[in-house]
Amino acid sequence: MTTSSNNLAVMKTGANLVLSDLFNSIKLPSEQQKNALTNLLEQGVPTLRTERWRYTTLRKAISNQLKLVDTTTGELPQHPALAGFDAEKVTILNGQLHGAISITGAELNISNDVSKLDSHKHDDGFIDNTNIAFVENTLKLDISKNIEQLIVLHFHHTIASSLLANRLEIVAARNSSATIVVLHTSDNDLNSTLVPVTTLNAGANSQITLINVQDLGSHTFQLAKTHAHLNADSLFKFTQLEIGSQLSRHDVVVDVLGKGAEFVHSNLLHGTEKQVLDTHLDVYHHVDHTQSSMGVKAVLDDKSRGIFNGKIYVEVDAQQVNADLQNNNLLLSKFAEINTKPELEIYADDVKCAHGATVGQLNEESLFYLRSRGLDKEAAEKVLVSAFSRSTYYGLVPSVLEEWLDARLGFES
Amino acid sequence: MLEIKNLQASIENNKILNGINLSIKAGEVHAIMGPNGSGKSTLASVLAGRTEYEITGGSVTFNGKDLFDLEIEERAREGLFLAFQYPQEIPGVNNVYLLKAAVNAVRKHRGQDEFDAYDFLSLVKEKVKFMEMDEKFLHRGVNEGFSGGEKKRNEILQMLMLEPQLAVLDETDSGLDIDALKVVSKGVNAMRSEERGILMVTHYQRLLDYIKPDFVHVLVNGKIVKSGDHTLALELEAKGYDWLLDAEAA
Ligand SMILES: Nc1ncnc2c1ncn2[C@@H]1O[C@H](COP(=O)(O)OP(=O)(O)O)[C@@H](O)[C@H]1O
Ligand SMILES: [Mg+2]
Repeated sequence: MTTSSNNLAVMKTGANLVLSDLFNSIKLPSEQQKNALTNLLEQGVPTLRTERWRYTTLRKAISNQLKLVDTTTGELPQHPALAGFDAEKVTILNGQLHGAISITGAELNISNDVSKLDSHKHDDGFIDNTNIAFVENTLKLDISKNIEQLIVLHFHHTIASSLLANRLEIVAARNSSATIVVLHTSDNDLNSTLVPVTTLNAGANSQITLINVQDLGSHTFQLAKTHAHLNADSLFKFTQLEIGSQLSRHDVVVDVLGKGAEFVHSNLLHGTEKQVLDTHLDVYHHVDHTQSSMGVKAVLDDKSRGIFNGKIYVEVDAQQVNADLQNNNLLLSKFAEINTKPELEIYADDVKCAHGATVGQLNEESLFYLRSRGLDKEAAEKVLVSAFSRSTYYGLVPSVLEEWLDARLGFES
Repeated sequence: MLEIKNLQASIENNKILNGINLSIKAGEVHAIMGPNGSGKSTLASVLAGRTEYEITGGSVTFNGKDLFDLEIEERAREGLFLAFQYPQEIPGVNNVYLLKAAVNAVRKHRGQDEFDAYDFLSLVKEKVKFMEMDEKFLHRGVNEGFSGGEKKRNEILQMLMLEPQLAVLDETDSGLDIDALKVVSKGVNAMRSEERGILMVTHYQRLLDYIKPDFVHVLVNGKIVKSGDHTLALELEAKGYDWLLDAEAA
């Protein structure tokens, strides 16, 4: 499909030029990086004409102001979200690892090597290719047994006008289990573009809980991808909380590869001002007797926009699949907007799949009930918004994080 | 305490209330009875401030204030309480959280300090016990998954906590078995006092065996067509509503 003339046409457009120029400033790119760049440029940076990017423009996120991060030191942040944690914490500041994990059964290493998970054909590969082209160090987290203690990874970014690709590869051995909190933050006025990719290879009968909190500064762009392979009888619980940033695109791809495997997803898109929060979720049931349940909620205020695209694929022989995808959206301002498209693509005949989406304002009857008990209108609205939002994280994240999220989102407890 | 004068209300251009006159003084218990669709819930909703209804005539004063000048929550804070016929389920909002927010909103309005957590909790627990409810209901979502009877108990629990001046009870007896009816009646009777007014709306006279009203009014087609003492309820029980409907039509 790609010819050299196509390639040239692509190269002329701004964003492609920006990325290839940036790449040229890498001193010694590896073969893997070079290949990723070639793939990236062959496909071209997505535009609004690209089906999967119809509602999200990359015009500002990939601007010609961007440069790569020189190795620098910076102040290690003490983020309030992490204050109450009794956990193993490490910080990744501007791409550099600070601290270590000292739990037996969990090993964190830095590597120059990228072990990309095989990607399904529907994924356009843009975020992956960009990540691999620009990633300097890959963090490898190996979980080899049951780990009770929380593992917390805090990615923080402070360098203006930069493009930074972090990569976290989690490999969970057979029968292992762990709860991992990943927090992404940046200085509030930071106009940088972050391209974090997390992969998980969940071994047979492993249980991994991943809590991804995106609370980037209000000028920061994020192009993220989370990709998981679930082997037999594994359980992957993924809680994704999109709170900060100017624009956050997050592609979540889950390949359910082994019988008895289960994926449980909870997602909050919490938009205010002019934020754009875009999640694309693709869950592939490749084999029979697998399950997934996904609940995605957007609460959008002011002029914020939410985009949710979710698809469950069930392959021909994947009988006895149980899958459920629900997307509920609350629009708090007449200028807020949601584009939602939950879909099923099912080739097996003996499956139980459901999907649905709702868009609404606050329930009038509930508001009346609360006000009739003496709560003023504003308080009643807040109570209902917090109930809606909290259902995406209550009981799913450690209680210190629940408390911090309540405070961060202005919910009373 | 409550003066309703020639109250008329409509919804979507249908007149539902056709000139209601009713005066409730402190210490009195009134019952409004009437056939289905006569406008009982409409009257209760209009008093509580539901906005779908258009007030097309008449006036209501509550403790000397024009009720229609007050927002929904202001009415509640002034001491008006509506126990709903169909209490709303609000998943994700803790029952005990709502109780606390409600009680504190009312206390603040009265110039009282907010309850401290300990005092509040011991009071709630006492009332929960009185209503013969399980404490676990406090930590569930408001009315979430409650049975019909549990919802009604929960309404009365809220009333006991809020100690309103005027309680309007809309079909609080409907859907209750005899034991639940006794508990709910016990709750209502506990609220009877010289300072308080109670307006019970009911289709059946069964409730009035447990809560004896001082006055009984019969509402037909949005109008009070007959008033009397508690013996009127017994008469209705014996004769039904038809003789009044006929009288109204004549
Ligand atoms: N929201 C509404 N829209 C249209 N008609 C209504 C609405 N609420 C009540 N009504 C009508 O008003 C009349 C009185 O209803 P209601 O007050 O609920 O009666 P009751 O409580 O005495 O059974 C009925 O004819 C009912 O159909
Ligand atoms: Mg009624």
